[in-house]
Amino acid sequence: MPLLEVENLEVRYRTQAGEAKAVDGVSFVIEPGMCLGLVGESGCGKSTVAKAILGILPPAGHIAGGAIRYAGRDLGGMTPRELRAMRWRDIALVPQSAMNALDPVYTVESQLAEAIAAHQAMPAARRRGRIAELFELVGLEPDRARDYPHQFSGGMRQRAMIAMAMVLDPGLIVADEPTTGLDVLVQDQILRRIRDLHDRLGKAMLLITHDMAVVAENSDRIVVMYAGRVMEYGGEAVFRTPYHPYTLGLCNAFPDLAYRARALISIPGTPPNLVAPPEGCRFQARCPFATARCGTPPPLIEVAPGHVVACHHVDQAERFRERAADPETWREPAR
Amino acid sequence: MVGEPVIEARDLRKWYPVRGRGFASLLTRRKPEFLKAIDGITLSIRPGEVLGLAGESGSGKSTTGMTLLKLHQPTGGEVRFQGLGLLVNETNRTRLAFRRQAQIVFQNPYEALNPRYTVAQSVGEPLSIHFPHDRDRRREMLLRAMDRAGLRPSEDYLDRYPHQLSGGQLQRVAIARAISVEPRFLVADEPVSMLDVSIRAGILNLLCYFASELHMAILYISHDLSTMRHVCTRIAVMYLGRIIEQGAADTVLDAPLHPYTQALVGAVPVMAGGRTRAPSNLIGGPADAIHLPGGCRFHPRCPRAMDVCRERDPALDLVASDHEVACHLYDSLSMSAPVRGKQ
Ligand SMILES: Nc1ncnc2c1ncn2[C@@H]1O[C@H](COP(=O)(O)OP(=O)(O)OP(=O)(O)O)[C@@H](O)[C@H]1O
Ligand SMILES: Nc1ncnc2c1ncn2[C@@H]1O[C@H](COP(=O)(O)OP(=O)(O)OP(=O)(O)O)[C@@H](O)[C@H]1O
Ligand code: SF4
Ligand code: SF4
Ligand SMILES: [Mg+2]
Ligand SMILES: [Mg+2]
Repeated sequence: MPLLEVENLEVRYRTQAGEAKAVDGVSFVIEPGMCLGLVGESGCGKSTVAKAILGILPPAGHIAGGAIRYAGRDLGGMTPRELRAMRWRDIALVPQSAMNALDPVYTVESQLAEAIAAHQAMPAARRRGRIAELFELVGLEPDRARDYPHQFSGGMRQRAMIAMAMVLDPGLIVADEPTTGLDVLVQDQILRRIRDLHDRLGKAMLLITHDMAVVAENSDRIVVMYAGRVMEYGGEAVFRTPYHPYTLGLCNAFPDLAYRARALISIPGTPPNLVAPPEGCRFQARCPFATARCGTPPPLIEVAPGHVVACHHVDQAERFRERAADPETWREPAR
Repeated sequence: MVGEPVIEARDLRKWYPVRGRGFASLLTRRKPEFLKAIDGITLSIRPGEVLGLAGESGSGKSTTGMTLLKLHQPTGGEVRFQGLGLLVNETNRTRLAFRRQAQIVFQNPYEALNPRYTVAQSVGEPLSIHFPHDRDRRREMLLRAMDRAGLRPSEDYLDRYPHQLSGGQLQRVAIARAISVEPRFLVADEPVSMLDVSIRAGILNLLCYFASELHMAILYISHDLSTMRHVCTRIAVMYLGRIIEQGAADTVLDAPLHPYTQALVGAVPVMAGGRTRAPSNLIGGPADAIHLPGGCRFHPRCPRAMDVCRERDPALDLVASDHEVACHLYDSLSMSAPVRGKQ
């Protein structure tokens, strides 16, 4: 049985201009021990997916359709109390800008202790032992546990938040941009820690980021989102042989250190308004390959086992791949 | 690259005094301490060159940019602009001329632009300072800057306010503002790190264009090495206020010599990398910038540190053509020592 199933998830936000369809029919599956990478540009709904899974959407947001199942149990049918009990114990979050999520007035240790105490009766001495264990797990010196957050560097605070997510030994860790804004050396250390938890302890992971190389290096499965929808979903082939024009755009826009002397492309335009999104393919206004057919919603087509693409023209993927590498293809259309 | 350097720094220093904490420090009258944000930097940028300044947070990249632009007063050393010293005998006129010829673009376009100004007002503001009496010329320069920054057609943008623009368009406005006065030297401090990957190339390509077509000298500051491959002709890597390696961009990225540069390059995730990159072998985290270690300031973290590294501070030495490194591992390659042939 899959650990997490997200099926046709729809999330809306009330805004002054109307309801924003921030997540609009997103489906994916996370098996035990698997790392799923979720990429897409700012505002495409990545954090909203994470918040919906954890049941922590802000008051303006609500789940308008679909289902989220953890180990076969529908989270939609749970009481707020049951949901709270699942958080931390089954699914834990390393939130976006986790660096600032610690309370400056309490020591790091007391904040971890409180998280444990809220869910599990444990004598203080054992709690302290558990915290020391977690500190070591994420590569922090256990005797720094009594420091206050301001005595930690950004990277250390980030690691403390990962330790926090681990306190109750959850089955699934949702990491929302766990290394964004950190130096590359610190990022590398933290991602290795996360991967270690994943490899050694068999933790399943939902890794959210807009850094494609981070996803490529750390994920077993990849979801590419755009404007609230899944554009492409599959294994490493998603980046190796992409089918969707948006994935192709992202891959050719990404400055890969290992890839020399390549012209970088820039996708013209901006993502659509989510209050009144276009009828058909959400990417059509920016897609260099759009045709009249793209005015109707594209079906999700399986191009290879376990690799699905939402595009009307998957049969032309080979030509798209060739043309997408050329910056001329992505020239801003004359208005 | 041809031509005399547009901007040169020689042994540039910027130290910040740090006050001792609490009353006790007043009583003990310890000698004042300094945070050596930049501590002896020598560099030069020629017309058409893009020098990338890399290094971790707090290594002094932004301070270097600001000090080169004279937005910070240096503690020591010298900055020369088009061959002329900037620190001595400058008149108001030379200062104003320098202000026009040296411009900066910051990371966050939202902060750089006044939300109540239209695009035309933002881009036109520096022009009215430098060309107060020449309306036609201002108009012409404004439109040229908008066109060069890719805000085409300009009529579509002139009357818009920042909140009506996307992040990428805003950064283009900030760039148009900086280049409106047609500077010879441009500092771009993390100009794309707030922008989505999908639109970064547009801004990076602009910098390339300014260098290759308009022959500007550009200092591109970023902690993201992977963008440097695409914009920079040369790269300088900073560590705790010093340049520790400098050379042609491809050389520094493909064959780095300094152990710190090697670790930095090795820590960058790559799309086709799988899980094969070796972990960094650096020890611990960045050192305290106030209490710098003696000898090589990188030695507490260096996996290859030797006895000499604890005692002597390595100088930035030329070890191959256009490749300088500050590390005792290469003492025998130093061009100042007798050359012993390759390797
Ligand atoms: N509380 C809210 N009220 C109204 N709209 C919201 C709210 N939170 C998010 N949104 C909108 O929902 C969309 C998705 O936001 P979300 O934070 O999920 O994006 P994201 O993919 O995580 O982006 P980023 O990469 O910037 O973190 C955006 O258009 C955003 O403006
Ligand atoms: N006005 C100031 N007063 C005291 N210290 C300062 C000041 N400005 C910068 N510093 C210190 O100087 C050092 C270099 O800072 P700088 O901003 O140049 O680093 P940077 O390389 O640009 O880092 P980042 O990548 O985080 O932008 C840091 O230790 C910083 O704390
Ligand atoms: S459906 Fe049409 S517009 Fe959408 S990605 Fe495919 S080709 Fe482009
Ligand atoms: S001089 Fe010594 S300590 Fe410094 S980088 Fe070179 S080997 Fe390492
Ligand atoms: Mg987010
Ligand atoms: Mg800086």
